[in-house]
This record gives sequence, C-alpha cells and structure tokens, in this order.
Amino acid sequence: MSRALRRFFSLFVVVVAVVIGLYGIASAGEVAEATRKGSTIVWWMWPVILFVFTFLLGILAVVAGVGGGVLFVPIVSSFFPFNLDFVRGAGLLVALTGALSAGPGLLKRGLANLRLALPMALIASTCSIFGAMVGLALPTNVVQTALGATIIAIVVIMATAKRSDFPEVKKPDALSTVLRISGIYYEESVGKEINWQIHRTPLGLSLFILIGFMAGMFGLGAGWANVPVLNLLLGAPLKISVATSVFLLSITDTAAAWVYINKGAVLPLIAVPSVAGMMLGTRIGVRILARAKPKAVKWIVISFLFLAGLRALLKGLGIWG
Amino acid sequence: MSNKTKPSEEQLKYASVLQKVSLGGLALLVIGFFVYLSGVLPTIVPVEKIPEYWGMRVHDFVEETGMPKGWSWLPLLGHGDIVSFLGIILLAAGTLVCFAVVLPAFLRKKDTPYVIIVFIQILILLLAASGIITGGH
Repeated sequence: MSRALRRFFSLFVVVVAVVIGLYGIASAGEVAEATRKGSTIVWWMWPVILFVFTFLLGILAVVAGVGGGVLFVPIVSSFFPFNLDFVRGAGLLVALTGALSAGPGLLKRGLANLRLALPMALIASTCSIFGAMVGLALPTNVVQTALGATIIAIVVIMATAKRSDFPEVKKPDALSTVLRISGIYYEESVGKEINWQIHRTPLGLSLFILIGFMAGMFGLGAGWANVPVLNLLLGAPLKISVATSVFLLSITDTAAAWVYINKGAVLPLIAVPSVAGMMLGTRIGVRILARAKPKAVKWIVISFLFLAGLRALLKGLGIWG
Repeated sequence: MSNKTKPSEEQLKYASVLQKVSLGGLALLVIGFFVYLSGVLPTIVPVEKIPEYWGMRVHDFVEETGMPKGWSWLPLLGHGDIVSFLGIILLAAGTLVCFAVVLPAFLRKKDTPYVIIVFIQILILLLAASGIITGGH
C-alpha cells in the first residue's frame, strides 16, 4: 500500500472514530441522564458495564501508550450516571493501583529512580492535597468546565510533544548535585550502560506544583505531564522518565486519594469494578501490544479523549447535556 | 545487573515493601468487595440503594445516607460496605509504610537532604490521611 493511501486510510479511521465517538458520547450522555431521572436499567448492570468498559479502556491505554488514569475521568464522567465527585475518587484509585502494581518492578530494575522521584513527589503530593480540596469545594459545573479545558490541553500536549531517548545534559545544576540525583542504567536497545544526570531542577520542581494540583483536583493520573517535565526539561533519559513518572504517581495520587476517601467520595461499587477492569485490561493490552499498530490506536484514543474533553467543557458551560 | 546499575539499598527496600503492601491491598479489595456484594454482613446503605445516590454530590450523599466520614468508619467494621473499604485504605496507606521503612536507611547513611524530604513527606501523608484537612462544603 502506498504511503499516501496509508495516510488516507489512517485519516479515514480517525474521522470514523470521531463520528462514532460523537454519536456514542451523545447517546451515552442521554442514557446517563435518563438513569439519573430513574431508568429501568437494573442497578447491578452499571458496575458490570463499568468493569467491561474499563477493561477495554485498559487495553486501549496500553496499546496507545496513554495513561489509563487520564482516560478514566473524562470518559467515565461522560458515559456513566455517576457524579463527578465519585468518578474523580475512583479515577485516583485507578491511577494509584496502576502505579502501585508497576512501581516495585520498575524500582527493582533500576528504571524508576527513588532519588529523582522523592523531591518531585514531595511538591506534587502536597499540591495534590490542595487540588483535591479545591476540586471538592467548587461547584460541579466549574470543575467540569476546567476538566474539559484541561483535557483538551492534554490532547494538544499528547499530539505535539516530542520525546528524547537520551537528552544531553552537559552540566548538572547545583540543586541536583546537592541531592545527588544521577544514575546509571543498562539500556537494552543499545546494549550498554547509560550514565544520566539532570539540570533545571528548580524549574522542574516548580512545575510539579501545577501537576500535583491538577492531579488532585481532577483525579487524573499525571503521566502526561510528568514525562515531558522529567524527560524534556530535566533531561532524564526517556525510560527513566517514564518509569519514574509511574512511581511518582503512586505518591502524588496517594495524598489526593486520602482527601477523597476521608470525604466519602470513594464508592467501592464504582471504584472496585474500575480498578479490576483497568488492571485486567492493561495486562491483556501488554500482550496485544506486540501485534497491534500503536500509532493508529493512539490517534483513535486521542480523538476520543478530545471528544470527552469537549463534552465535559460544553456540559460544564451548560451547552451540552 | 552490574554493581554500577544495581539500585540503592533504600530503593530495593522501598520496592519490596511496596510490592507486599499493594498485593495485600488488592487482595483485600477484591475479597472485601465480594463480602459486600454477598450480603453476608449488614450494610449501612444496602448495595441496591447506592444507584439512588451515586448521581449526587458527595456532601449530599453523606448527609442523606449517614455514611461515615474520615475515620469514623472504624467502629462500624462489622458492616459489608465498610469491609469493602478496607482494601482501599490499605492501598492508600502503602506509600506511608514504605516511607517509614526507608527513613532509617537514609538516617544510617547520614543523607540529610533525603532524611528531611522523607520526614516531611511522612508528615504530609499523615496529615492527608488524618482527615483533618478535607475540601468541600
């Protein structure tokens, strides 16, 4: 198949996905609204549907290389009859359990780095507590509008951000030298040990104020922001950045999760099927990844995320739903 | 893995504790959920009634159902809905346990910056877990 034809086919797939997505989100919104007003759907169907849905979301998240946490809140709040408070509580738990499951292996293999993660985690987790408090205090429509705008911004970041396998850091900054943030890891793709160090640490730390706040406020995983900051700004190798970002989430989301738990915003009937579905889905996704075409899937997922963000924005503004 | 690429002692310790706590938390989450659904224990809010409330804001949900906030669920451990909550609590507490375990390792190494960072992090997580600070109405 020629390159132009492949491009046309990819574009066609994305357009079809967008049209189906728009129809699906509109219909799901109506179903969710009908359920709120008292529909005939048996109550236990919703957790079952949620389990199946998050299972599929987990597969897509892995294949597309997009964090499951960031997909969960905008999509589930659009498709299901749950209040945004409970969706955010469950979203934090989904992101948290994913990070807790992957964290130990990444730390043991030396890919996630404790010294790099801890200073960032301290800032991000503190701010995630404030984010969670603000998110639970603001009216739903304000949070929904802000969520929609944030998701659209995340889509732009995902679609445009470049990544660098081995960024060049000529000289570490003073703070990272004091904190002795550097390391060596074995890079299988090139078959040698890679030395790494970081720079611009104070600027990176200050960005984690915003990242933590948003993670807590919207109940989102923050891999979409952690990775570019660790990789492109601080200059950590891509593998170290991705692994450390996953581990970082386990600390940031824990702090915010406590606020939601203490407030009563974590409903087991919503959270447990979501966690189970997402974890099972990501395991299957890892197996499918070897055979799938991640680029096409990534664009379909990003298109859905954009639509969910758009719906959240319009819903918050009272224009749609 | 060569000696140069081997993770530090405290990193390996953190990973080992995190693995145990998260596995325990996940197991408890699933078991607790099935106990809740099975109906063998009484519930504060019957599971089939939850859909009447899940469209509400959390503040209204707590007010209408009388579900406990903060740590006031502790005396209600005999209820199915509280048992289903235990795994969530353990998962959220896991990180705190890991920090408590690695703090002595940093102290032994006289790694002052990281002793301070870990100590403040423990305080922050304790504060969040305590329920003293919550958002909302």
